[in-house]
Amino acid sequence: MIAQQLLTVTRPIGRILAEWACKVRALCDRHREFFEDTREARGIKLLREWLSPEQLAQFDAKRYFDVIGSDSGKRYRIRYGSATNVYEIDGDGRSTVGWCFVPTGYLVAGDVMLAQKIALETHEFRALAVANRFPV
Amino acid sequence: MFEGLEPPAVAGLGSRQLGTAPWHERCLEQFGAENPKELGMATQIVMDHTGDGRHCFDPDDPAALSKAEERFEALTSVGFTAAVRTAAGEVTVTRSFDPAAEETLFFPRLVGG
Repeated sequence: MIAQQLLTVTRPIGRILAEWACKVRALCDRHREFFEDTREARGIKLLREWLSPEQLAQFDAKRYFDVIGSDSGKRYRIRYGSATNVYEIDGDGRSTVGWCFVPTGYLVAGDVMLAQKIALETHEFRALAVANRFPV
Repeated sequence: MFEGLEPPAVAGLGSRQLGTAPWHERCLEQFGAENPKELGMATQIVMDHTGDGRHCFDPDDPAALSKAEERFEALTSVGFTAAVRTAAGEVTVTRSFDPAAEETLFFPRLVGG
């Protein structure tokens, strides 16, 4: 009898708590999605502002852009991403080797790509000196 | 410039101050401007975990200019690289503060991934 009364009393409370938990979780998910989208979008916006017109057109069409190394004159392809996304390109447009170097800290892909572009276009050998090679 | 260690926190430039972009965006909206250049303002852009933080300042204001120079020194002394764009769109890396630069971009030290 008492157990049944307890059940009757606690069941609605449990249901309310469960509903609140769901609402809080949904709110957290929505906030996280919005925040992540904003971060990513800001990174891409900044990258687009600093790309040359040719690089921007290439990036919009193919999600990558090419840069010319400041020291060797070699061509590199920077693909969308924040790691293992830089490739050395030969005269036929084929990837010959991959280079992995990134700015420290938790940066979004757009920021990473922009830092890689500037490094290769201004101090190519210094950037490659800290980079790790990977086969393609 | 790119070798080595994780840059420590910049003294007096906590993440809160680095991530000021939303405020500046609202400011620009108030004045109906697309970007700070339209208001004759210069900008220092610092890459951070929020995407970037933007510090707009009036280059004709000596106090604002001095603060911008301090920020430049603080960031580059802990390993950030400063890049500016020429009018022709060419990007160059600079080691000294340029009071005439309309836009300076700072990114953290590079390391092998």
